[in-house]
Amino acid sequence: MFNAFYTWSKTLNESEADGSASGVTYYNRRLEKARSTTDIRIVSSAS
Amino acid sequence: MIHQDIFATATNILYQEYLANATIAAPVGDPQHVFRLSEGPPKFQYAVQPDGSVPFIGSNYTSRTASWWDPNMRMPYVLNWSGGVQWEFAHNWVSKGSIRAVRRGRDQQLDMNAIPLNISTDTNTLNQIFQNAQNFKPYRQFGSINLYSNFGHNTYHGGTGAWRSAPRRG
Repeated sequence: MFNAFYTWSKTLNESEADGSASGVTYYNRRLEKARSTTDIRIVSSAS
Repeated sequence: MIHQDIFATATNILYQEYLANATIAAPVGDPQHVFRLSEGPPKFQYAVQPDGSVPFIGSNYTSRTASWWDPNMRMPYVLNWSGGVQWEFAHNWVSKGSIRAVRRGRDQQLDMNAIPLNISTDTNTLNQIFQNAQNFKPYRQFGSINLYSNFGHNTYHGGTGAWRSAPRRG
């Protein structure tokens, strides 16, 4: 039996925290938008 | 001495709470007591303005924080989209493809009493602001003002491909 998996993903956010957020400014939160620390681009496995 | 006021500018929105502390102490070296415990502290007069506000006395504005709730704040939410296909591309061989997208909106608090990034491009002006940032905040009489609103959005997009051979019959 053969199994192979390939996952591509992308996670974006402005702030990791659930409560208080930080950053340069609140005026334009898009400036904070970037890949999250939980972002995992590619996972693959085969067995 | 503590004086506490709660203001509501409209029904169910925007409650502002102010706590004013006054320390009553004798000048250093003055042996006389300031007040007798049995008599309580002397009456403290606040300079209440016609609009009900009381001017801040002191210089350390940064410790004077306030909270502001966005009256249009929505509940946090999560949206999910997903889909997939499966295909037997050869005998006993299956491939699967699936996609998933998630959008999440949260409620977060941010200091909204922040100096705008585009306040000036003039070096002299920027130096002035750097020397005394408090005077250039949108609300100079406050330190940080925590605005609770629908800040914080996450998106997740992902796709998975899987290939497997089905077990053959004996």
